[in-house]
Amino acid sequence: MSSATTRRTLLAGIPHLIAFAPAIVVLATADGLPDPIASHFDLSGSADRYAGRATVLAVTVALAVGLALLFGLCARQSGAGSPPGTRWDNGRVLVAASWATAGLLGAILVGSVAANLGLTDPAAAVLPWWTFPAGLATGAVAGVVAWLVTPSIPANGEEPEAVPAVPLGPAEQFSWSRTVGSPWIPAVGAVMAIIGCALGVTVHPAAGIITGVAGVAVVLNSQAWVTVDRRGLTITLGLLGWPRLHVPADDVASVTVADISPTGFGGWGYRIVPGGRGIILRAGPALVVTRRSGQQLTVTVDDPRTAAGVLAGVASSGGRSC
Amino acid sequence: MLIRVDPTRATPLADQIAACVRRGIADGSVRGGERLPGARDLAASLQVSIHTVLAGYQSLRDEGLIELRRGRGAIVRDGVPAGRAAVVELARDLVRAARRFDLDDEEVVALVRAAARTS
Repeated sequence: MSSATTRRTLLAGIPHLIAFAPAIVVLATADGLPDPIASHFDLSGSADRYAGRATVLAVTVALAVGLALLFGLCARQSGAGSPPGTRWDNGRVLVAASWATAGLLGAILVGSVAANLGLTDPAAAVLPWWTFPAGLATGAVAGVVAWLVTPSIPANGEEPEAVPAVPLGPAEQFSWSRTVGSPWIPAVGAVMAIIGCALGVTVHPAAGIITGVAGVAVVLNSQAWVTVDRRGLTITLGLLGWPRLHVPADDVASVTVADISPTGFGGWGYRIVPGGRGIILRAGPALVVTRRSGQQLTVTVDDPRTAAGVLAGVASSGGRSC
Repeated sequence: MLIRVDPTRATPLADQIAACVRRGIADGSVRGGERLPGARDLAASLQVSIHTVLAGYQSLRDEGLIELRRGRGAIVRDGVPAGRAAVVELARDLVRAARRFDLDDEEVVALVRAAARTS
């Protein structure tokens, strides 16, 4: 583990211990707390659930340690720097999200415990209306501060690999194409569509329709057809042939091959990330095309070396011949 | 799979398309069950007529390498050994070489029979 990753692991984990500390200290040491204390409040701020002081203390400590471990481990897993094809720096986003969560939860917890202070009857506890907005504000400030203090790390060792251009005759026409898909994405979509039907019947027709349509969209976009020819790179998603992405040959600045992980793009499917777009249907080899504008288009596809070589050949020969 | 055609070569474009698919099957880059690009898409991509692509696909079907089904497109036959595509490609090379030396097709067939008897 590099020192940058260690630093980020600590940066993501420790804030939870700090943010929960005031509530833990008050719960453990304060004199003026009822037992049981009010542990949950309704929307108007009146107490509606109660728990023993020791239980609340134990749960709070467990929550602090659990969140610290969870965010720390996630930060460690996501590594340092942005993966190929995106400027999305997962580790940095994660640290910011961690601090924001810690700020929000820490502020609300302190507020809830403080509402019990000086009372003998926990039913009299009232949570001031501004506790939640104050928590949100604390979280937002913490998130922004975390983003600013986390050093940005340039892309790590896995530099995308440049591919030599395939020499192409001036009159030659060619077409490289391949389908890429994932067997389980349509399954997820089908399950969503089925859940949609169930929701439509049991909960509300609107919920059913939204889930069902999302499920059908997932099924339709679970496959992509990637073509490289004189016209450039064309990616057609799904069974309907829409959406369709096209990079004209004369807009190609460079072509590389990289090993992609969906976590770098925040998931599977058609991803729009800082620095570019991605059609990410699986982990593994991918074609990464940089446009003249600097924006990148990444598509996971088998045998990307051939595609990259041909596309580099087209780009260097100036594209369309006839 | 990469399909390359050169209109300036003497070989008909349909044969060039078929040869690319055969080589793909022979070198293992195209496997059984794989779908070839749709004729219309491939024609647009190569900037050739759709009839040229269909003619290439039909000769592949006649050689037993692919199946053509209406509405399902061209699919490489399951269980087609890569070697078969390689042999078909060699046979084509043999015919081309023979024609270059003015051997007619009957003579080529006779040569192949003779080779089969003696080896």
